[in-house]
Amino acid sequence: MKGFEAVEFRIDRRNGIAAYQQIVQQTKQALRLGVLTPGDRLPTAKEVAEACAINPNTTFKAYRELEREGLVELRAGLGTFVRRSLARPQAGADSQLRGELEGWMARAREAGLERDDVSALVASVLEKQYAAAGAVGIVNSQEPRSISE
Amino acid sequence: MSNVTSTPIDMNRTAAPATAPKRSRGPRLTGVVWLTWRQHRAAYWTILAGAAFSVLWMTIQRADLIDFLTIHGWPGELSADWVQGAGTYSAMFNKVGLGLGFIPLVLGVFLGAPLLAGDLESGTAKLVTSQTVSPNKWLAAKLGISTVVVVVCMTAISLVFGWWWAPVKDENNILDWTAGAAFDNTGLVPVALTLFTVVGGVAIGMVLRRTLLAMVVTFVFGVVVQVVWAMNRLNLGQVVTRTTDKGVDGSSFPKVPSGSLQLDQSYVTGAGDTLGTSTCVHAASKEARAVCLEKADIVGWSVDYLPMSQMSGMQWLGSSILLGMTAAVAGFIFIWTRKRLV
Amino acid sequence: MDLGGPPEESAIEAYGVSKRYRRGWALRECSFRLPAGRICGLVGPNGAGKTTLMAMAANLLEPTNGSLKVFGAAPESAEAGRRTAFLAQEKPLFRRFTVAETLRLGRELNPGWDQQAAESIVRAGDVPMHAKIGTLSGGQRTRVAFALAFGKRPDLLMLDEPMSDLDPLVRHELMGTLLAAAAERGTTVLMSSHMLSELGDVCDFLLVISTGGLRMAGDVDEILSAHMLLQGVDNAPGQGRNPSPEVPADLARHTVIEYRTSGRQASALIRPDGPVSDRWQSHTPHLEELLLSYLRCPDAPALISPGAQVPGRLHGSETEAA
Repeated sequence: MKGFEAVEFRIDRRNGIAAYQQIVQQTKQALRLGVLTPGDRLPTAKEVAEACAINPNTTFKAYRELEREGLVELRAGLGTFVRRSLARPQAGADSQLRGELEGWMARAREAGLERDDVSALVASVLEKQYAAAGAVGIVNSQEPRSISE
Repeated sequence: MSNVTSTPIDMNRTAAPATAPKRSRGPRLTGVVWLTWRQHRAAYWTILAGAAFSVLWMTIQRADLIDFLTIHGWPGELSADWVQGAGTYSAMFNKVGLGLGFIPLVLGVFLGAPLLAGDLESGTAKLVTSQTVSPNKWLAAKLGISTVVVVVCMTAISLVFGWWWAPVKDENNILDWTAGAAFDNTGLVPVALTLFTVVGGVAIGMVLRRTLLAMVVTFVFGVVVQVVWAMNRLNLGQVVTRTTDKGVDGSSFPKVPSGSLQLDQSYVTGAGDTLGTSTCVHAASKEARAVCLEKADIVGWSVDYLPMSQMSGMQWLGSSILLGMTAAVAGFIFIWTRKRLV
Repeated sequence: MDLGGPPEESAIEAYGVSKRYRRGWALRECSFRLPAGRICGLVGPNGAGKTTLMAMAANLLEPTNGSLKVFGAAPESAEAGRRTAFLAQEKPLFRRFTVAETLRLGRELNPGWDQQAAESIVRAGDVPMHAKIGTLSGGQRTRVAFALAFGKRPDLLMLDEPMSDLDPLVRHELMGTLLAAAAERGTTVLMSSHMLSELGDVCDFLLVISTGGLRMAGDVDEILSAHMLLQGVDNAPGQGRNPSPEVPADLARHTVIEYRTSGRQASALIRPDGPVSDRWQSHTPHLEELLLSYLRCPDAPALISPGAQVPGRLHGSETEAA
């Protein structure tokens, strides 16, 4: 079958992130990791609804968002297809940026910071640097939201 | 419509033609008629089988009766001694007549009462009315098919019972035509009585919405119908009065047609008044009685009776009243369900 | 939201609908519209009138006052009857019918019957076609009832507590089936539920009723973004939990749905009207939190979002004094 489904979404109901954002994130993650490549078809709203028991409009909403960002395109009657990849050479395993971050993190560890401290620090800098780019990017971190009961 | 063809793509699943229309015996039922028949088929088949059995059995009984009568000269004049052996046949008629008299009650309780109460109680009324079908149509199918089954069965039973009884109809000592066993099992009466009880049961079930309760109440209703009917059966006729002026002695008693039901007898005076037959019974002697009768101005007999010739007219009248009431109850059912079916 | 273009068709429009039973009012003065193509949750405590509302739209009951329209037609019209399907909570089916006969019932009584759709729903659950309904498990029976409802090809499907008596696995599976079938045909779904946690994923529209009145109606995203969950320090801490603490002055300008304190901590669900003072930490509430607050506080003012208002009728967002 042409344009086989390369991804299957997994909606986590407990992590507090809206289902459509989870779809957006998981699609982007798949694009970054190269699991999805241009030309691949995303599962239809019906398929997602059947597998995950989520509202088909949620899937549409996620796909519209991805389309607005130019990552996918809706072809009437055929489905939603990946237009471009997010795998960036700058973020690759042997990139300079990555090397710098690794170096920084090694220093942080030497300085006695715990994993959570580093993660909070990164999140905070991320928030500051990417504040204008919208909130969608941050929620990728698996850290629990700081909401008490 | 593409829904009839089964899809060949999904072959790894079993039994694709599971819902393909089955070969049908007789006419293929559709729509609400199919639904009604399918839902109540056990009851309908039981009723039809019961009716068929009754018809067959009465046919055999008639053959038996004819054999007996033929020995005694039937179809000509019966020999005088036939009455001696008639007791068993009389008992059979009365027993069967009594048994058939329970049919309205049984059908009212087991067919009428659950007909709507079952659907209202289990919620299947909601299921049906939320399909693309008007509640009236569904109701009409339920009442209609049940009516047809009742009419067919009861007409057959009535005709065969009448046929069995016909050779000895004029013999009051076999089966009295005014008794329920005869009157309620011939002509249109069994059809009308059963229909009224069944439709009454349907209405009771519709109002009560509980099957078991509806059956109990319908049983009471059926008994009341039978009692009221039995008490008023004879009022359907026109009482005939015959008076004489030949005195009240000896053979002066008027002749009434054979098979008549004598309701009352009394003395009649010259002025046309009636006096009880106990008048002058205390007279000491025959002469004294004659004087007494003379003094009371008694000139003859007055007899009230219902001739058998009225039977069919009475049955028609009674049946019409029952069917009219049945129609009224059916109308009530349609009006009630318009607002309260679910 | 970004649902631009011409106004959507309404699946249901209710104009001041009320229903009174012998024991009292079951529903009072409900006015709302449910746009076509939505999957709408109907939420409320037991006895709030959820079933009554759906039964009226399904032409099983008549409103005492007011009127309803289903795709612009009266519920009792043949047109509306053909386009709606209603699945009652007890999922009535003829127990002595086989599955195949149950589907035949649908075929016999519905002109637009889709046998293939109905059969595929039944087969997806491996329900044997020749089994009697009475021998099926609760989940299988619900599946057959779904098949019957979807085989009718309704444009509006109303489900009364469809999952209430099913185990989580079956519930998930059937909800998937339901949503997939709805996605395929763009069916509008209205379903009542107590499973608040599941509604968020399933529904994109909400109707909340309690004590007979409409409390909230509208697009889920609109509703969520209209609210704010605040957390902060209570200025006048009482002893332990205070059942009815006084709302602090700096929240008075907002519409406060619920204000609770616990020790020194205070939390509030508000519909903000202007900026909120810095001493509060604000979050967007989860749907479940929001619904719980509304259900706990039946006196909170009603919220009918613009998309849920019936045309030609003015809605205040304030309830009448009840």
